[in-house]
Amino acid sequence: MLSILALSAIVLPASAWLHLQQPVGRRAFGEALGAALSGEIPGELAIDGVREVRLPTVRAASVVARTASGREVMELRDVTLELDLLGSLEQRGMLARHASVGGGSLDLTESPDGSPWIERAFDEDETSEPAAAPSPSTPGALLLRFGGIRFEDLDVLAGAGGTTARLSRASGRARIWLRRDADVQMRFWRVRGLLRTSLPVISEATARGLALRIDPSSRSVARFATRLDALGSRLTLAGHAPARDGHSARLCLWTGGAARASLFGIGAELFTANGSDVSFDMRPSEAPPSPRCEEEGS
Amino acid sequence: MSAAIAIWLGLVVSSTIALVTAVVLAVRVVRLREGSLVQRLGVALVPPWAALVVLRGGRIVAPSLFALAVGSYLVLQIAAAMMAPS
Repeated sequence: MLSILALSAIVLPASAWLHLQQPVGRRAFGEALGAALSGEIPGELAIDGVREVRLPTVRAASVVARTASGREVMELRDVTLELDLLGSLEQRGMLARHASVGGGSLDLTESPDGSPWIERAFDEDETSEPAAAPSPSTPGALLLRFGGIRFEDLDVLAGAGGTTARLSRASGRARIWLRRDADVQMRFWRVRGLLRTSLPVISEATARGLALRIDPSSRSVARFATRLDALGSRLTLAGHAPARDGHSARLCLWTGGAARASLFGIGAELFTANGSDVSFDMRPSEAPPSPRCEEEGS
Repeated sequence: MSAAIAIWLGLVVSSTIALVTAVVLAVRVVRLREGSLVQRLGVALVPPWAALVVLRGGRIVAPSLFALAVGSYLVLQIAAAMMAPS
């Protein structure tokens, strides 16, 4: 009897691994992982088209996050994850050593009630009844950590006025830890690529680094700072979005002194003052080491 | 539980039972006192044949379990093949 149990203990994981390589196994893995992650957030996380499950590496055609009402707030395509299996078990989350994303889009726009759509997908509804006994398995206890993350293209829709940005060929690190005190950080400091925005001042620029922080509990959900080569100058752009609680989305541009960029900055300032929901502030000086785009005096 | 997860679990469990019972049947056939060792080894290496030999010897549990597991595995593989890829 003992030998039968020992044999089963060897055969069962081998069979599980073998059947994960079949289409039905890959599909089951994607559905199980999606269901496990969706159980931790108010919205839904769907992992479709799992192409490879050779643990710790998982490749999927797309990862889509939706709000409970079905609005798509995040779509990542051609996703490859190298999971940290032991770390994931220890910390009861999904920890990945590396993640790469072929393309994707992120929706940071507001819902009619003023809260961003992405907050509705990942963060608990403030109006809902709190859970009786908070535990790591209650909604809002999702931990996602990516030691290294790389993506080819990421489209960010940042404002109702059509402010968009496309980040290309970026790499960095991300930590997303959704608890009662939401702590979502995504930082990219090795951006090697192109930043495209709908702003008249910088339609296309080479980004030399980017610090991006997304915090759904903050007044400014997304806050960023980046250094750009554009208009023949070294610029620093910082800002936060979207507009909340009567405050508009805000962008600050440091031009590093009198340069051609300053003229464009003045033009952009005039344009945004009249025809955009983005508050723009041009500063013809060198940017501080940690540039922050706050209202004057705040 | 989705259909894909149920089918995958079924495949894993049924294949495990089939393989373990196949080994049990093979051991029982090799331990028989009928025929030469070469003959017994030949029978043991073909699990359905081994199941029939063991069944003829009056033991019913292991051969039945093996048949049930193999049958279930085949049905589940057909169901898996019929599922549309995601």
